[in-house]
Amino acid sequence: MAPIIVAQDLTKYYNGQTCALDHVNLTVAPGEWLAIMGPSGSGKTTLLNLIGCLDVPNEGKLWVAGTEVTHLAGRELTRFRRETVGLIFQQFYLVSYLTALENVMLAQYFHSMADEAEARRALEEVGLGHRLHHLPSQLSGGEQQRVSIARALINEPKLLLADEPTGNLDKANEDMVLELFRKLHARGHTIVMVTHDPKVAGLAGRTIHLDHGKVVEAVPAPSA
Amino acid sequence: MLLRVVLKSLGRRRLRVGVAVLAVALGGLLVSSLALLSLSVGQQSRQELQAYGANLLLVPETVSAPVGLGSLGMGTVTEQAQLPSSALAYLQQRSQPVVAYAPFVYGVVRLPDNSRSVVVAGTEWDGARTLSPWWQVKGSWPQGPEQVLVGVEAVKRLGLAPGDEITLTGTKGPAVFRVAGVLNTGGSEDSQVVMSLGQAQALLGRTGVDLVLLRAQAGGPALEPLAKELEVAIPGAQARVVRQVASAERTVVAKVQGLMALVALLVLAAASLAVFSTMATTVMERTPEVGLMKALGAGPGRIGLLFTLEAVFIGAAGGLVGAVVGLGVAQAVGRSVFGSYVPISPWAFPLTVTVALGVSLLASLMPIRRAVRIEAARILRGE
Ligand SMILES: Nc1ncnc2c1ncn2[C@@H]1O[C@H](COP(=O)(O)OP(=O)(O)OP(=O)(O)O)[C@@H](O)[C@H]1O
Ligand SMILES: [Mg+2]
Repeated sequence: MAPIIVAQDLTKYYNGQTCALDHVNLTVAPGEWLAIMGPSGSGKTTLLNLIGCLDVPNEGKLWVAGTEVTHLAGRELTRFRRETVGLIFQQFYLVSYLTALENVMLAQYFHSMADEAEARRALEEVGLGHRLHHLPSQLSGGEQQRVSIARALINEPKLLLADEPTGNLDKANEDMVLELFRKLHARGHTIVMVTHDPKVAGLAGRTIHLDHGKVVEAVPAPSA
Repeated sequence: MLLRVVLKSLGRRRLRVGVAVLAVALGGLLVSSLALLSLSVGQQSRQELQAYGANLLLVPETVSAPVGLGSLGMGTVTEQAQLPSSALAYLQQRSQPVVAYAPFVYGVVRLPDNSRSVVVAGTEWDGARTLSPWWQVKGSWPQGPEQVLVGVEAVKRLGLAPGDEITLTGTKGPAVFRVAGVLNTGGSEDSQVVMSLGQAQALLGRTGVDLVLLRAQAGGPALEPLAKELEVAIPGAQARVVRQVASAERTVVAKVQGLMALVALLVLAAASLAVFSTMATTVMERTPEVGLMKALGAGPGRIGLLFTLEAVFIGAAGGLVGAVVGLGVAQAVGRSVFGSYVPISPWAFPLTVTVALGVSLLASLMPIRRAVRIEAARILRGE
């Protein structure tokens, strides 16, 4: 099957000097669960930003879902992002004055059109059918992260990108969120997840390690 | 959906948004009341005087303020300097450029109960009606010599109605009159009994008149030479250009309006500062939110629209509140300063809302531009 992500010599400088990514080569197959590990400042978030079309590289080429995104800019990049990727963040980033349901509907709205019934179903799917009309401040960390997972999934993206999704969660909530990722992976979703926790990375099919913007070792999947 | 986001976001920042709305409302209030007042004051008194009314005034030379009726004590009436009736004869035979004239004689007469009195004004009906077309009569204009008009205030005070008889006692003893109609002029006539010149002179024992209102065809600078000419032709008379009074009044009105406009400008500037700070703060505070929205696929248009709607809400709410309160303020000012309600101009309302919207949008321009430029990538970096 054609890979969903291909990166060739992907390089990113900040302010023309800090080399956050240094000629990274990477291939991810559809349905794969990839974990990215590495010390702080090694370029994990930068890599995820590029794959998620939130930022553009200085050098190298990048294909996502068969499209060479290094050729896209501005409006096209925005459109490609909302059609292709779902994003999950360490700090959840829910809109504080909107309910769980409205937060999910916001993603629908920016994608195409808000559909309350569908948003409700997505929240029920992550076990939040009883928390639809709660504000983020009225939800636990794990519940907030599950809202943001529902939000990331609502537009059926080909690719799920998560930057330390369990970094702010306690053990019980972490387990619940990881269980969700496991289910999503089993259903065929492609997941790229940044994590510090080897235990979390252990759930992934494959782990790559970054250091100073370079891939230093890649652990292949046991049997893919 | 966007509207829901806007309303909820505004609702969460009620206090700060409220302050901005209030600031805009204050500016709107001044714009609204200024517009109402200048639209009405501009027209009212002056136009009447200039278009139809008298533009020259003849008074006896020795009296400096002939209209000041307060100085006419009961006993001093006969000692009052007056214009001789020859003055009227002169005006009658001299047509050009005098279009119309109305003589007035004033005096105080007693009522039958002897304790109350009323001011009687004598004039020539034709001249008075030509020079004061705004005089309104309920009932009918006097037909015979014994018929009189009674001012709307006097009617109330004396308990009279059209058709009633009234006995007035002047220096020449009592005489009986019939009330033909109730006179409403908005001026001092409202508290007087107005009758024909001859009747008044007979009742008061006078032969001359206290003042003559004139309308000459000539306007503006041509009035001064005419005034001089009349003073020479009629010994003992002093001629004044009425328009000078009106234009002095206009200068005062213009100055007051200028001051109000200046205050309105300053308040609008302060209001735009308040809106600017509210919008700038909200954009700054919501940088992660905007980053998230962009990460979710919102284009610059959507983000711009979101904050523009907030600015529109602040402007519209402030404008509406300002327009309504301004209406009240204009009425209060109109009543206390000009003694009448200000007519409600259909322009004042849309004008105020438009100005408020303009100020709010203009002040929000920079913060909105800033919001539109927030990068989606910031959010993953956790900035
Ligand atoms: N906007 C930026 N401007 C300048 N330098 C940046 C910017 N973003 C990241 N960097 C630098 O690029 C390098 C890689 O940053 P990145 O955020 O990708 O690291 P990370 O692996 O995600 O770290 P962490 O585990 O702490 O999240 C770091 O040295 C960082 O200081
Ligand atoms: Mg990071």
